[in-house]
Amino acid sequence: VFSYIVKRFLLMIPTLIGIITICFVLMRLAPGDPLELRLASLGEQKEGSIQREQYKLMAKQFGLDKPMFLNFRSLRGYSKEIDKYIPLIDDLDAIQQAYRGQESEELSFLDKIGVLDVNLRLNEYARLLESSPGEAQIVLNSLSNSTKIAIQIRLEKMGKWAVKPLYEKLIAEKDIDRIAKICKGLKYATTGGFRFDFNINDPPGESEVRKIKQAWSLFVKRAEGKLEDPDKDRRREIEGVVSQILGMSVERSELPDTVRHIKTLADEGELWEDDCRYIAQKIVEADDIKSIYLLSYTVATLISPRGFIELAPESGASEKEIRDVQENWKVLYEQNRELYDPSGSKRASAIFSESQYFNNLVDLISFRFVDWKSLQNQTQQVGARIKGALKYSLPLMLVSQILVYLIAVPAGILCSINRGKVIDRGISLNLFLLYSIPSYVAALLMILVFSFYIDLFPMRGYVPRELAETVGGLGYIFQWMRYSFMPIVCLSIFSVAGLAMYTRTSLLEVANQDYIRTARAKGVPEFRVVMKHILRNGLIPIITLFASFLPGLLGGAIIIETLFDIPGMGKLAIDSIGFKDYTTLIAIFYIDALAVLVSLLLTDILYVTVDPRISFGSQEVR
Amino acid sequence: MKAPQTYLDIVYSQFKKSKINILALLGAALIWAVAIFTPLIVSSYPLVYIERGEQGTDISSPWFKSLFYTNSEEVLQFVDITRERVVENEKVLYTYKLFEIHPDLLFNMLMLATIPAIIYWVIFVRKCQVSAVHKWVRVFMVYFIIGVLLTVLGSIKPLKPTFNTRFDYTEYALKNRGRDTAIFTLIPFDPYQIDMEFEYKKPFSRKADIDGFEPKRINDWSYHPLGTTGNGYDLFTRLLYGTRISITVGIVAVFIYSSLGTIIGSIAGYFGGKPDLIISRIIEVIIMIPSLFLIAILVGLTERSVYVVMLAIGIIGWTGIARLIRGEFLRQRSIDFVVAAQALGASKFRLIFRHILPNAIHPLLVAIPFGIAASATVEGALSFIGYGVRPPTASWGIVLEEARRNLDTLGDKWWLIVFPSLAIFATVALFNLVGNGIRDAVDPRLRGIQ
Repeated sequence: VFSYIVKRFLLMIPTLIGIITICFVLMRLAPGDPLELRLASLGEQKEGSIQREQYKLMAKQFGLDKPMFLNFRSLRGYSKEIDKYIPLIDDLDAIQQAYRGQESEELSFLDKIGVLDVNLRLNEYARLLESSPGEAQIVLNSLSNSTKIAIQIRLEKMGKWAVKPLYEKLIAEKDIDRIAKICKGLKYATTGGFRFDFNINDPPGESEVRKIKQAWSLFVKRAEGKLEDPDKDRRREIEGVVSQILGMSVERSELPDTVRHIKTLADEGELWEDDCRYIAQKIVEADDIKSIYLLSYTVATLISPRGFIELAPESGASEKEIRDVQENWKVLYEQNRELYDPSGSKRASAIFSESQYFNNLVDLISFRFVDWKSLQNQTQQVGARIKGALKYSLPLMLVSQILVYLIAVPAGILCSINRGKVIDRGISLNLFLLYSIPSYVAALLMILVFSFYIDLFPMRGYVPRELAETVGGLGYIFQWMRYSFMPIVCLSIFSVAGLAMYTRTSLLEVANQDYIRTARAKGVPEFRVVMKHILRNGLIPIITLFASFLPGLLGGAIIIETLFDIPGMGKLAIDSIGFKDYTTLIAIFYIDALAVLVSLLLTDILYVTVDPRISFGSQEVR
Repeated sequence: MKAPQTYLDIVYSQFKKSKINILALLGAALIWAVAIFTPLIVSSYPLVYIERGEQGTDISSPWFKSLFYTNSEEVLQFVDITRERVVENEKVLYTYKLFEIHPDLLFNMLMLATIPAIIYWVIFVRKCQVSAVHKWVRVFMVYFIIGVLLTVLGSIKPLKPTFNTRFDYTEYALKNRGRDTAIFTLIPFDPYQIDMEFEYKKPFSRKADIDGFEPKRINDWSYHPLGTTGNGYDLFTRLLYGTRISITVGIVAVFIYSSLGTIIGSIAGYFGGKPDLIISRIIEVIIMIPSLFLIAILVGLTERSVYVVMLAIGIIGWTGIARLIRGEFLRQRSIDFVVAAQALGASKFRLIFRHILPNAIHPLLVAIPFGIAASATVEGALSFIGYGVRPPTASWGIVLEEARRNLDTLGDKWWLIVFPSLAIFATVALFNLVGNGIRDAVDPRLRGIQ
């Protein structure tokens, strides 16, 4: 028995992976970019570069910046390619100069990285140069603009694998202009630079916290020598102020007070600039989001942390600033040497582990997916969304499923006992007609009759919050029944008919067996024949239907929930499809699949327990 | 001489034992006929139009020409009901490609194909020495082949419309009322004819009855037998055209998935072993996910159109049939006649398609009518939740979806619910009944029971 269960568990794994794969492929191969949709729905109408920045951050957050299945970036040395880019990074003049000059042939490599029709447009430029220089300039401008963005995208795509070659060049470089360009390139490759601050109402995920801490540890390193270390007495004073700050509240309503309080602390000279390093050290050591938030806000009021670890120089920055930035990169690189210059085996494993598919798989298997953020609503986590939806659909489905079994099985038994008689014919025909009513038709007709003509049941399928708060426990149950009556009936109709017909057939099949005839011939009373011989054996196939019980509970009902406006699982699923919210979708898929697999296993075990003719060994693996 | 009994004959003789079965079959045939002959009942194009111009009389049949109207690139203007609410009652004209033109074309061609089919029956089949069922099968084969051929020809090389296909003859006829003669069908409405002034009117109302009536079209004097929907569409017309969509989706989807299921199921059943294991696993995976959810994903991630709906249902639905066929194959594989054929050196291909498949096909006979009913339901459900065919298309689900959007004022618009509901229910119930009858006829285990 044990070995059988283990075997079933092992068989579950490929099935599960298969489901995830299908789901993933479906989501990712579908046309349309979920992020763009999301940005559009936010009403972002900012200029291109800002939107690009936001897009990038979002892609990073959802892991969409990685290749889909296999990541070969780790194996490629980008050194030579980057050499060509460096003089061009973020420099329109240089790009135009290059295009104008004779080396446009050499620039044709840009063709490969997504600049459209380089040669065609260059020819156009050359042709126009004679006749109308103004138009030629326009062509050149647009060409160099798209080249600039293409280089940027290319560096972003290389990601952290471009950091090492770039860094090596940064160390070796003498020319200050080129250093500035390399720094910009490095920033593109690492995406978005650092965050020190965040919105406490939208707390960052685990990986982001790690990054924020990393930023602060870099701050600590860079502040060395710039900010003086406090002595012992001062430290004690700081400890006092810090513990005072940590005691403040970050509740939404009291946040403005807290902020004001910290500002007065800074203004009144309780804290100085030089203390920042010590406080930053505290941030690095802190482990809850609240203290990270409060302390980083404190530092930010005292001093601009950005100045300490600026990763890309402003245009027209002085030489000293650029040197500073270069120093920052040195510290950062040394700190993260393992990340940017991994060993060979790590590089090899990155082929698999740094792809979207693999990340999703790992998250799903380790149940980390509940912490995913929903693409549709970034402030919510997938787990919380599903939980909220289950709150509505679970009781609904539970009641309707139980009702189905309570009605259908007796009806089926009744039919099979009186087979061929009027009762059988009548019930069968009725069931058959019920079987032919789609749930949405039934629901609409019921709404028409029970909500409009007889004002009996409300049209919405869940108890509104205001009402739920005013009525007590019993009253709530009564209201719930009133509101859920129509959805439950509509959910049950189809299943009742199907199950009853199934029961009837399965019982009739048993009733035709020889041993039933034997029992009757022996003179066993009819009641006993029915109860003991027919029902016992005829109801076994019903048990297989339990396999759909659990998934039905979790899956919700798409149509009924949409119609009655119930924010349950089915509605969530259909909304997620509309928004291409694939984090939520994959999670729902996965939960459904798990439910089915578990209930299949349970059904098999139940089957063996009930039917002595079947044993684990002989049963064919389904 | 009595014709030899074939499997089909036996099934039919079992089938016709029950009166309900015969009635259901007749009902299904009626639905089929309604779908085919829709333009004969409702059409805004005159059957005959006699134009008495200055050059002389010109007799034409715009109705007949409109049957060939196949130009799918044609852009139709209509008010998109779904977006209208978003733009705050501002009526915006959108241009859309009307994708769902091919089902219409197919049915039009099938209507034309009835004539050669009848000729074929009279000349060739009537006197053949085969049973009635086989005669029907032959006629239907020819009928279908002609219809599909015509459709394919029509889609590949659309006939150049000799007139503006969206030319409003109802308006034109009114303008030239004294001069020209036009003979319209019984109910002269078009499923896409918009009349914003006549939205949501009761059954048996007509425009001529409103106060201050100003005729714009000739059909303003005609009754709307089932009332009108939003945009002033005639409900009866839309329901009739909706039959075509439902039946097309049902038949094409079932065709796709039963072919897929048969092929995959026979591979799994015949070869067994590893292919079987892999295919069974795939089936398990697909069955696990609620099919409506999966289809909605497929449709939602691509474009809303009837083709996507058919394809999606076809791609998702094959698992049930594959299982049945696989089971049959597993059973038949070791029966003597297969072993004998194998011993005679028959190829795998021959074994599968000549020997086993014809004996394993009966689950398919049962699954097809049930499948058509189920696919029609799913199509309605998809349109209903907004993932089916596109809004201007005349489909039952679309009408119900409109009712859903008007849920708050539904009490005054009961006809929006009742009639499409009846249509769906009748179709589903009839096809289910036919399926039930065939199952009883095919399944030897249950034959004696009823």
